[in-house]
Amino acid sequence: MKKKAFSPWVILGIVLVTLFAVLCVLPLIYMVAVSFTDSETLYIKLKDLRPSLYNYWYAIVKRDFGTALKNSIITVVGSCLLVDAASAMAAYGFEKKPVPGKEALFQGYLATMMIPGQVVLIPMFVMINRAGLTNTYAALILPMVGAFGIFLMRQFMVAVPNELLEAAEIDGCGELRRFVTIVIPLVQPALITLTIFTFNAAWNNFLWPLIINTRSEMRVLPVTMSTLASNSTTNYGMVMAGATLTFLFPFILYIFLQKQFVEGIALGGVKG
Amino acid sequence: MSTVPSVKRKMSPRTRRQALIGAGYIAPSFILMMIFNVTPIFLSAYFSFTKYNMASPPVWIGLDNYARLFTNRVLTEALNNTVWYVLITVPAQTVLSLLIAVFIAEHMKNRYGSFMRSVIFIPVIVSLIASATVWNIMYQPKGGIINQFLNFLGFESVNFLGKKANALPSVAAVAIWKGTGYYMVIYYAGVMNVPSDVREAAIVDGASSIQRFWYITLPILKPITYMIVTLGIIGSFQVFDLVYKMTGGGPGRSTYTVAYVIYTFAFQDKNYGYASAVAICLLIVILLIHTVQSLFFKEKD
Amino acid sequence: MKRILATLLACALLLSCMSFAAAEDKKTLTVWIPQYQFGDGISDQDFWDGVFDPFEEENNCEVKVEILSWTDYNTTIYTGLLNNDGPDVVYVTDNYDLVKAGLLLGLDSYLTQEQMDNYLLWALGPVNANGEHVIVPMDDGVAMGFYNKDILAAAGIDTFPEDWDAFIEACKTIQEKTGKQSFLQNWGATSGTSALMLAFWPYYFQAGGVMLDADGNIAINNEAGLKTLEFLKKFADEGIFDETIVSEGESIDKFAAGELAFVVADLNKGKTFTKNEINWEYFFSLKGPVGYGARTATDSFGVSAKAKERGNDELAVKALVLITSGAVMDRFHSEVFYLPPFTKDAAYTQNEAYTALTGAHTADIYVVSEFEGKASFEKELQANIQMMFMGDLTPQEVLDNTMQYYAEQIKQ
Repeated sequence: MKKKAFSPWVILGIVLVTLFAVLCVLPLIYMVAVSFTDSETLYIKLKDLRPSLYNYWYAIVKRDFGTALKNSIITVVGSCLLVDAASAMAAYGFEKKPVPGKEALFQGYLATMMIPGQVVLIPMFVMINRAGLTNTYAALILPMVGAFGIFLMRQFMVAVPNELLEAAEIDGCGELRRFVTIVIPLVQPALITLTIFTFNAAWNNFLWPLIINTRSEMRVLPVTMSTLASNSTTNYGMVMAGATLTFLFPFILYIFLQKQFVEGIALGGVKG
Repeated sequence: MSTVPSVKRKMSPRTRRQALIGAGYIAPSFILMMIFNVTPIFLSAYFSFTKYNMASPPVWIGLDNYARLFTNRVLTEALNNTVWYVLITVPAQTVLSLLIAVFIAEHMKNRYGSFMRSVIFIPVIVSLIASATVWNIMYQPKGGIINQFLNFLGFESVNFLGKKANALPSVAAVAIWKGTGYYMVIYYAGVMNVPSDVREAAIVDGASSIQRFWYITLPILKPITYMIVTLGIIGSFQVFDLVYKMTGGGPGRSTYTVAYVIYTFAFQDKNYGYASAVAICLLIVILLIHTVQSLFFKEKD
Repeated sequence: MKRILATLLACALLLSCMSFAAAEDKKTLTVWIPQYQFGDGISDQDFWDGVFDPFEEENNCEVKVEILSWTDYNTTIYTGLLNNDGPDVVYVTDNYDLVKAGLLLGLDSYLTQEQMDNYLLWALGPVNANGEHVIVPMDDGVAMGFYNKDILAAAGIDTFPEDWDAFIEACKTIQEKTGKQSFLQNWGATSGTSALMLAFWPYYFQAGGVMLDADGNIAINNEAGLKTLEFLKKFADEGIFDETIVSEGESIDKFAAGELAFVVADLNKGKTFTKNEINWEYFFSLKGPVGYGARTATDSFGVSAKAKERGNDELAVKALVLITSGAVMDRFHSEVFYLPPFTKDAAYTQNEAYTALTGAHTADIYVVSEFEGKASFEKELQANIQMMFMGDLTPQEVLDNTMQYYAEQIKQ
């Protein structure tokens, strides 16, 4: 074994990586720091910092962040449940059932993954509007189902042993029960991955909610955030409090589910 | 093609039942995908041949919208900016994430290294709108934290978003800040997939780390690099949120991008037909990128 | 993981129950008004909520007032009015496209003759295809100029330099002699409408420009347009404009801090300037090749055509009448933002200086016309002017490019 490499180059590398990591979080630390000041200038001195939640109180109560937070949570939870259920079911159907023409359909699904959001934006606006679904959670949740989730789930469905399903069927286990009690637990890691992807997409979605849910009681966090920022250009403390609120939920989730986050993306990336 | 015989073959009652059940499983997502992914494409294609302001019914005008694509100065500028934006972000985030991932995998396989990975990933979870808002405040020409720092070092203040030469790179920097962690994670997983005996063999052969990186790691990571570059190009081609929130396309039109002009043409100029034509062209460009990439990929494999 | 999912699910259910519980079969009216309070007075939201409290009780309904951002305001209301579930009563800036698309309700059959007569500018408002008036126009007033007498004195200037060339010379002198900034307008802004309102149209009028041609189409590709742009270009070339200024508020703050010699602002700001012990004076406008010129616009209030489908039309018009009543507007003008009255029953104290200045210049006040795709036109014009400041376009190219884009992209 060679000597553990602590050459100057490696040390330089470690310093550079550390520096980059610091650059990654510095804006966020700054964001939180400014959210605790009530100064309208950007020259923040330590004495301006105070452990006051005034900016947060103001953003939540006076600037609709409470409503937006509620809407975002409902949208995200709804999206995750729908996407997980629909994708797992479809993947199961595609992989384990002898549906005629399924491979061609699957290829068609994969092709839709390349469609840029801007292409479908206008017709979707027209359709949702005609259907009278503007300013509803459905308008935000239903379009979240896409080929990516089905594709991801199918990768895992392959690993579900057919023998297990057949044995269960012989034991008199019904179709739906087999799916819920055998298949779902086996693909659980993939479901967690998909949940994380869907969470990220639904939480950060901006342009679609901006144009489709125009009423203030139906706005989601990024839209309220954007309005707040353009309405109060100089009240930096409050704007940063809003940004912090937007960031807080994914961040807490990230802390608890860090491994799944990272593995999920690696998996989705490497396989996709 | 392989599915055709199975359709024609007489199905046993059991198989038919299973097929029906399978169709039942596929149906919910199928219906939603038909409504929200497939129908809009055809509608978009239809709108692209019309004059449509959403308040009155679309009027068929044939290829008029497409004919006007090539003479539109605003669109040309947007395309130009988008290409520059892609040329700044994609190489930067690819190289950065690759170097960091490989370095951490080689030299920092300890708790500190995994902590660094976690930290570098954090910007990924910040929403684009929040990122744009925070960076906007940091970029402020007077008193923004970055300029405070520059002044502290004795430099002049820089007008990041208000000067033509700076605006696009400043927006791109935020995208790089936000994207590097994501690709780093994918690269890291790829490096970890490199069979350890391959690397150990190289170490025994006395290859230096640079040689190992160049002759072993990089070739093995090639498929991942292709994927990351493609994802990066497609993602950057559609940049909207950052531009909308940070510069509104300005100053002048120096940060107009393709996605931003589609929004402008449609929702501001109320020219939904023309915007659809641009969107359809965007779809074609993205399909082309994909095709070229997969051809390239197959050739190299 | 299961536990987390279960908790999230429970939260979602709870929250959705809460939101359903709030829904009753009371009528709900949605009102959209842009932000007007930029200072530290009562917030727009609080002001309007207060106005509608008795209204809600009286009519057994709920009124939701939403304060919107000026950024892309026109796009927001167009999309909102198309939306089946959009606002009932709206504040309208550029009305042409909304009227043409039939998005606003004809008001004639809902209002009494007496009510219509009460609106000073009623006749100026546009009509729909049936010849019915669709908006209640209001008088936006004229934005005044302010100058800091101390800064002018320090630069050795004793009279206000109202001629274009003299003004630029004065700006240069002030910057050389005092080291302070002379004149700032929000040319760095990304939203075209707000910047052009104060920083382009007045100069265009001073150069003798007329907005619409004989057919009612926008036409600025003329000598006045060229002169205006050449004048504006000087501000950039001489280092007078500051491209970092993106909102009116910033230049006003500078003036209030005694760091700026000239500023254009709403009249109420005089109080702030006095409080800050600025030795200031009003000016009406600069004097261009043709004469003085200030702009006014007719923003307005209207009711969504879809309010009728929702059965909200009667109530919405009632709310509109309340908003535009003299009593409410008097309070709005004194508590939130100063504007001239626009109903006959308004009874409030006029600002003397304003009355004197506008009275002396009645012929120099021009109304910014309405035309198709105005907001888009202004955004495009502003982007091109910014490019001129950056040295990418000549004044003539700004005019050519803007008009070409307008003809190809915007005019339908």
